Amino acid sequence: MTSAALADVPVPYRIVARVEETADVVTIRVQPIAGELPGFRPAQFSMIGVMGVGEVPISISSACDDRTAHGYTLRRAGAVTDALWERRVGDVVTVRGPFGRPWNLQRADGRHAVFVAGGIGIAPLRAAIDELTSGTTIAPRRLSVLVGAATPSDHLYGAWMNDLSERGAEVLRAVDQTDESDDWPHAVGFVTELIAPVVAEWTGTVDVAAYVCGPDPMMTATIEMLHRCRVASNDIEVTLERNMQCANGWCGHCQLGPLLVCRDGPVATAAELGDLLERSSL
Amino acid sequence: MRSSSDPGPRFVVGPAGLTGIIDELDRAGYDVWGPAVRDGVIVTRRVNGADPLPIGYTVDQSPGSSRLVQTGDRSRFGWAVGPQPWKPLLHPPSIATMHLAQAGRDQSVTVSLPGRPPRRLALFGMRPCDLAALDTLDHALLDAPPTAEPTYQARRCDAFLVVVNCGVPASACACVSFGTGPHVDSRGSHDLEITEIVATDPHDEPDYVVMAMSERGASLLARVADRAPTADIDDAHVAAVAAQQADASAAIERHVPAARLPEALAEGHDLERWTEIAERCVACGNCTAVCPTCFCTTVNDVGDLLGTHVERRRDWESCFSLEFSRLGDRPVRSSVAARYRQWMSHKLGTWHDQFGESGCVGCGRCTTWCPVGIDFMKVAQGIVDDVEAQ
Repeated sequence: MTSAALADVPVPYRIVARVEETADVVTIRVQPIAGELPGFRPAQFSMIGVMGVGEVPISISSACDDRTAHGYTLRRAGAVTDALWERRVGDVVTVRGPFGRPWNLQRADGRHAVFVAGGIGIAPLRAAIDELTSGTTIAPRRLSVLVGAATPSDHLYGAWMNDLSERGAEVLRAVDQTDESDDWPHAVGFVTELIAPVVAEWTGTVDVAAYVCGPDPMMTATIEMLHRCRVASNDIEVTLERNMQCANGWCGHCQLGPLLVCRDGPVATAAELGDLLERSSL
Repeated sequence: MRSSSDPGPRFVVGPAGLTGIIDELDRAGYDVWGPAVRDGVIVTRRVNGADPLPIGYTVDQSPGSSRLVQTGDRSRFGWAVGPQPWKPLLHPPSIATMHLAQAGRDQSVTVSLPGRPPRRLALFGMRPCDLAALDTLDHALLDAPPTAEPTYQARRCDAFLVVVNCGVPASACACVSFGTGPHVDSRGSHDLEITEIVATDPHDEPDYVVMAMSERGASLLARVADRAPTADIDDAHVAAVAAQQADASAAIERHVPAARLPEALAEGHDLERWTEIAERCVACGNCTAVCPTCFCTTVNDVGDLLGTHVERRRDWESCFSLEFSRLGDRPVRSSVAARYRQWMSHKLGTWHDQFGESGCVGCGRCTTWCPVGIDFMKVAQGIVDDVEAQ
């Protein structure tokens, strides 16, 4: 049992870098004003707070071995994320965490690791992809990153994405739509359409470890497509999003049927998830 | 808890012995809370030895109705449960959990935490179902989370629990099928257990069979025995306690649907019955407020005008509120049907997945205090019947 201080008490962090990724998505990098940067595992999240406004759960998107600062990528979608968008380098926010169950990356060792992201869903996958492409002890035999977004300008992390190809990853991008002014050399369509060519191309036994993050309908469609490609439910992990307030399993807000997402998740296997995302208004 | 081979003090007292217990708890530094009559209902409030317990009342309950009735006898515990569980004392409806201060947006943030509550709590007159509800809260707030919830823990860890067995169940009670009453039967985390034996002539004072259930309960009873007259428990008392337990058990008419309830609630997700209930349910949240195990809260930051000082509060929240399930720009459970289904499915179904037991102890408060009289157990039975008929 960790102490209440670790779990419940916000810690002041200073913003040391700020990058506007798109028109409404920003990445901030933060350092604790005092004390050490805590370690974390990919898909873990923290509660990021702005004084007088409130807190929101944001997953850590920087690499685990980056010991200078933690990166958080967030979209403006409410009072707290609006306030975070307005914060600048030098400003101080609060952080509680990291919390939650991370990806099980060990499953990818010696197998085909497939990362599927919808929109800002790439953020909780980024640290995992960084780890598996940086020559750690976990070595997938092949690594595919499939990313979808609404339009070309909604794709995040362009430079990092280009760099990934050079690190041996197969990167495929799609957009739901383009207009004539877009110079878009990649696919047009849903990210789920990228799955079958990549997974089915492997002619031997399907030996995939899949990691999925995006809006609920996208994750449901992705799981269905992976199933059609004969990937087993135990080999598919998703990361869930629900209303989180305490992040300690105390407040009850983040229930998804049998799951308390902050305590049992945010990562769950498709086997554990079953049809929970498909049940209406659960 | 003591083993049966090593019973703590146990004896019979009159009303003066009850007063003695309250006095000794007060002397030992506890804030003693017990039953009182106010506004036509039994409530829980601060009590002391000089302030008599309510005498000669029972409560006539049915779905959506509760009437306090005077019996004219000398019983002090002739009622089942009032609207107020003991939950607010240990899990306050609204409490400041910390203060944050920041002089400017580029300045550091300082956090100050509240001190421990000044006095320990003694809960006098809990019912067996209420004790079971505290065990349920203990599991949900202290044992199951990665970190114990500090507000509840600070109040719960020292609380002295005095349970009075239930002799007069109400019509909404369903404790038997949950195994939570009407007698606590020497099992549980309480310190003292009391059974009220009403006299043959109801105008005579009852006898109170008191038993110590913990070391501190034993030492408190020893001090009570020094000040108040006590008598040994005789065969007639033993028989009277057993008879009360049997009669009260037999009087309980409501039962939780027996088989496959969690499974039926999951399988019955799309039943039309949820929509039918929602046509009556006004989503007021009364049921979650009076429920002794509902623990959900919201974190609210209350700032001053300058935004330099913030009080972080933990306030009760109900799954019947639209805000409860907000995700992004909309609630996940926007219909009343979805919110009623969440309340019942959590209490009777997914609580098992989350905490390994039922979230309902069968106290009946949600049914009694529902303003439109929705009968919780009847709805649950209806869901099971619908699923079986599919």
